Amino acid sequence: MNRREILQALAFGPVALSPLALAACGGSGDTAKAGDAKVLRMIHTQNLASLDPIWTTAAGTKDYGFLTFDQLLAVDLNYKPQPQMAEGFEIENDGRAYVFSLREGLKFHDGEPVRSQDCVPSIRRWGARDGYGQLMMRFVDDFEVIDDRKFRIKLKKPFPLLPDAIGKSGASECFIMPERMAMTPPSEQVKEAIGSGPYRFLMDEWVSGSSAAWAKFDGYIPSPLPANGIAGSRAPVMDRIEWSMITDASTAMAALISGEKDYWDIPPPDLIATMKADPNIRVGSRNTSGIYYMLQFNHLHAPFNNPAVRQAVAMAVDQTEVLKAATPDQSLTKPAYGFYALNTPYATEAGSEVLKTQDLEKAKAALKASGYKGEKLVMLGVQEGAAGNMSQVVEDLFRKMGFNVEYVVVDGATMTQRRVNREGTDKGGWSCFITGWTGADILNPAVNPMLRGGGEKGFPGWANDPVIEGLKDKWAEAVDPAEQKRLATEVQVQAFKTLPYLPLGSTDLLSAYRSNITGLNPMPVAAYWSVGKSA
Amino acid sequence: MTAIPAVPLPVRPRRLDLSRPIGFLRDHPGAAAGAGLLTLMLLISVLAPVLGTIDPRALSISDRLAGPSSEHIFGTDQLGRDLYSRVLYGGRVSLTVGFFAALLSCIAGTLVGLISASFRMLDGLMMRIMDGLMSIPAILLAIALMAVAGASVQNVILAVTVVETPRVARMVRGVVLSLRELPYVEAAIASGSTSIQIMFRHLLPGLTGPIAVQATFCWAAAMLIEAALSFIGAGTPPSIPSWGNIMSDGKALWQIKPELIFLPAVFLSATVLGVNLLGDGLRRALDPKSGGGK
Amino acid sequence: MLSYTLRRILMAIPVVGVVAVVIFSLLYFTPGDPALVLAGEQATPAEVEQVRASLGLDKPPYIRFVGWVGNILQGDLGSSIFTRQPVTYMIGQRLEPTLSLVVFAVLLSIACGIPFGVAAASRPGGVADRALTAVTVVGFSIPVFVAGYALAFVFASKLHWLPVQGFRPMSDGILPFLRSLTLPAISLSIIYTAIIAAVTRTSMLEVLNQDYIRTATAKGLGPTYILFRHALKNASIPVITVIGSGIATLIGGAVIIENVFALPGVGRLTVDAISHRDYPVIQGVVLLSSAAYVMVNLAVDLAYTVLDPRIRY
Repeated sequence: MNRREILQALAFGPVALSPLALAACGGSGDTAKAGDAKVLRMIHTQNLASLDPIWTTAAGTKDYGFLTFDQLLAVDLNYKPQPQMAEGFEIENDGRAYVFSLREGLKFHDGEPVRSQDCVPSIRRWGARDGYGQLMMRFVDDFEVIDDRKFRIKLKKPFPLLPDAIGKSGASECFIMPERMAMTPPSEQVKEAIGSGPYRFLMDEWVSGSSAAWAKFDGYIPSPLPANGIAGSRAPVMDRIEWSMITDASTAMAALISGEKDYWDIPPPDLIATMKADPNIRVGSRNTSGIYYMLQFNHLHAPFNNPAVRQAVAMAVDQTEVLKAATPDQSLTKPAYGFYALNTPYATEAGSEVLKTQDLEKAKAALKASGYKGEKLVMLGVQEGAAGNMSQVVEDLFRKMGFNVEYVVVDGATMTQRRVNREGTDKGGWSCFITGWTGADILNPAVNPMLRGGGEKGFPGWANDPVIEGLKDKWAEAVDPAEQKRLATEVQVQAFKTLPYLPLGSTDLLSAYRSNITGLNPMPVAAYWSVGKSA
Repeated sequence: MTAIPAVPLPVRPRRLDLSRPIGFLRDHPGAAAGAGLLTLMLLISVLAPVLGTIDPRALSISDRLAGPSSEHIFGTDQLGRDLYSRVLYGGRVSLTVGFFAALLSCIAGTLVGLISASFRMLDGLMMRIMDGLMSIPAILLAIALMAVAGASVQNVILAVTVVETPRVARMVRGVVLSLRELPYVEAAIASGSTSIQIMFRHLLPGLTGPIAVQATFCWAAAMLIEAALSFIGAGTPPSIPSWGNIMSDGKALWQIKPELIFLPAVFLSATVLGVNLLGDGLRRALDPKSGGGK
Repeated sequence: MLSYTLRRILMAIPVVGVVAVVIFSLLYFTPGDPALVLAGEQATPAEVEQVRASLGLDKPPYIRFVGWVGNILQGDLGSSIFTRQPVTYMIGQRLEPTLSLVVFAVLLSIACGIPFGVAAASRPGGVADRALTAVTVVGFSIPVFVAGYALAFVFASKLHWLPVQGFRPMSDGILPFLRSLTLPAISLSIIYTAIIAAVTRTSMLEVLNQDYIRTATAKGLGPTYILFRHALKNASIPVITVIGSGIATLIGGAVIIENVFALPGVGRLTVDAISHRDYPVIQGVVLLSSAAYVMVNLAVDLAYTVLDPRIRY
């Protein structure tokens, strides 16, 4: 056989290569799809695994909740509650009852009207699960349906924070669901996805771990107030919103740059500079509340069951250094010497002297004096992202202080499992981990899920400080804003003494998007009803 | 199942004569190149501490994602760790996993294969189990095993061993069954040698060649599986710098720092290539049809 | 023929049975308690117990196994612990990208591998033969995800010829569909092409040495005609075999490569399920992919009788 024959024999070889040729000549076929101008194609970093925003505080489910459901009240950018589904509310009987009235014509996605009979069980279910809701329910005597659009919440004693609780933006929000969904026991997840929010969830298109989609809800009647944070009008702008969960950050970035996607909710800090350099990409901060990192201690076992050891750690930590690991752009980081979010009503640095020590030698001496006997310290760390990087820096610091450290790297799901283990470090337990909450989640003593002293009932870490709990109760009952502020400050001063957790500082939450994206109003959560696209 | 053995089996296997390794390598330049490459990688891994490296786990947050410089010739990763040191030390994990997984799966596979070929009663059952294991895609089985065992280097070795053992076992069983047909073995059986004697005197020597070839394939496969497992976060614990882990760390940043993936990949591929070339040379040397060919 | 088919099907059953036992027992020993994850952060031990009972996780393993197998036989693979959706529904939702990818990669590998192997066999030691050796050895040395990143880097990031990520269903049009699968399919098919080409070469060489080929040449038949009409047809059995046995490698590769190109397929589901300890999903995926493998090879076995009339059973 000679060369020519081989070539003949290979004659159908090129067929195999044709997809590449075909693909190459297809040009930008991917981006052009009929009606794309009215479709918001988002890269959503957080998976949507559960459709119940009351049952879980997972970030993906929360963002889903804000598109799909609506709230009775909603806080504006100054964290003042404003009417949302409610036309308004009246306070009766010296603050012992609240009467809510619904706006006219509100409908659920299945076409049914929103009634008081839907609101009451929705509030009850939320009140059974959420921290602030539980606090509120301690004051609630009973609910009373007056008519389809009016209901009354009767209180045992005045609870002036009730509108704040119902309209809050942090942790889990009081979303209104149809009665049949709201009757689901709080420990179980709802099975439907029917809300009365600006976008209708397309159940058929939901592929957990990959994608989710919404269509504009034509029956939505927006609030007449101007948009202000999550308060005011939530009128939907796009016909359709699509989420793609792309786990590989570089691939996600390439998709945004090439125009395959329009918006990326949480790009990792290391890629920001590259995207800023691209003329078609904008990077900006929408969630004005920022993200706060904290080192959570296990208060049940050595070494961190000893407050003196926790104090020693606080002396060693230099927030500025730790924050360097979170993002390469230091202008995005802010040290935060307090237990409440910066630039919010309760923000203060009172009591934070120990965290400003920032002296390794003093910390070492304090650790020696604390009675630490070389007990093993098990630190749980996630592999990636800011929290992962910061964990490695803090681990390094622990070693320098003279702790006997074992650093265990886990994925997010394993972390969630391991941190509920109350056993000692020899039985799969843990000593500390780093986590993060948005500023809206640590607004005040009630919403902050980690600022607790309730012992074994609380968030993993199980800090037990009756003084904190007592102060929080007094705060909840306080009527005067100045008194509330004073008590909240006292909670913080006490917290710096017993350190339920250690604040590590905050960074801005940045999003990246194509330059034609419009309507990115600032707000303390990630909600997309106002986001649109110019031609 | 009709899975063909990974190594095309010679009808009448040659015995592998490795008493003169230099001569063997001279006759097989491909194998020589492979052996050379592998030796180089072994040396790099073993001598990593004296090759100008620093602690591969040392963090230097202010130097994160630095480009190549005289201080960090490959630059640094997202925690400011020295990429050059990590890549050099990374070879230790891959080579260890590859070597031990190959060794263990050859031992286990040979045992299963011999037992299967020798005891008719067990043959059916054991081969069905092997077929069952082989019908689970290797990487899926390894992932499932790692989920059970938890992340550690030993567990990666064990998981790969479980994945590779059936292949060795099938091959050994096939060779043994064909060897038994050979006149000299038949003669030994007829003359009343015990099974054990037959096994050690006649069968094992005939098996060394094919097993050696299979070992190189297991070795190569093990290194690739380790990399894939670590890459998707189900392999070597992330705190240990293995090539798979360096790539896994780098995947979030491959658009801006492609070397985080491609540098360890070059080292890994070069090592696997070395093992494959060596294995290919051994196979050719054993294949009667290739005329001992080159 | 019919009895052979039946016998082959009967032989495949114990294999799938072994797979079922292996998968079930593996996951039974998996550390990490799905009930804990599911009950949430603030659950009391009693609530966790309740969740465990509602999932049937508190029953002894053999009862769970029997129940599991019984349900499988009725087409019920259980429900995901995380999303509460039926596993069959979840896999069904993600089947199109994965099947499309695997089929595309198989076709691509066959279309490239067979001519390559034929070319190599037509002149042993020639350019094509040496190229084949090189491609085989190198192809077997590169992890599939590295090949994926390399292709994405060149053809998507730098040249912008193809999308970096994502899947476009066939309903969006055939061109976007093919474009979205091209890079992942090429990454996957490198090794598979090499295997097919190598086996084609070996079996062609054997056939080409047979007398009847010499006769055909003597009769003056054209070389292309001989290569394809006579030789390839008779060399096809080992080639078909390796296409079948290589499917396992391909499915495994698809699991990895779907994560590189963000394809919403079964591979992506698997990796997510493992990090969530979502037992029913893991069990379902592994079981179905093994069943697919067994089925493909059953088809391959049956194809022999059609392809080579000399084989009679």
